[in-house]
Amino acid sequence: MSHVTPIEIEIKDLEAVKAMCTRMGWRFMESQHSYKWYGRFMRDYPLPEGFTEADLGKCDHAIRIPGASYEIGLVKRGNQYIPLFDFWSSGGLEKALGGSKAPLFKQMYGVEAAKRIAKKKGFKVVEKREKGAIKLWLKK
Amino acid sequence: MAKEIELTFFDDGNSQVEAHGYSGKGCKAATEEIEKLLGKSGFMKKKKEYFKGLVKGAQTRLTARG
Repeated sequence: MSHVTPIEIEIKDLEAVKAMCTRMGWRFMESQHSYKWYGRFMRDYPLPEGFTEADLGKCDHAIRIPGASYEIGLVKRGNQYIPLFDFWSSGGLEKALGGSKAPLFKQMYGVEAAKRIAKKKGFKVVEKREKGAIKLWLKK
Repeated sequence: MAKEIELTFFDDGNSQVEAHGYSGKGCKAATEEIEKLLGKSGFMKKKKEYFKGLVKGAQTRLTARG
């Protein structure tokens, strides 16, 4: 082993988002232009970077999670999608996504996106779960 | 050692890539495209094998120069 690099995941592959939804039992709502949330910005948290109050609730696609009354909105910005969601506990998303920063979303999107990239590049992929982490081994 | 790339996706949302069996700049090249397609790469922590490959290359160039 000669290097280790941390990666900050960016959502660039909509097909990987769909694969994640299938795997997790979530529903991808293609071209749904609004997502369910509290509906009013309470100013109790900063707005997501690059967004205004008027942008909240609007999206290019959405994700519906069983058991959650609120939805995740995916907003296209440049070559990536920014996930927006209201993590107020009554909406059910904070619990479903593992916290207010949605670690489960990042983890599962990362896995599905990496598998798609690896297969396109001709790698064989072996997936293993180790404690809470998911490892992918890529070989040619 | 067989060449392998190991990707780890942690349950706190962080992730990392490691190259196994590569040396020198070859390891960076092996993972760079995957890193770019997934997102932004962070700081690369180099292991001793990285430098081993680079030193070997430098020695080869010196020898060739005669």
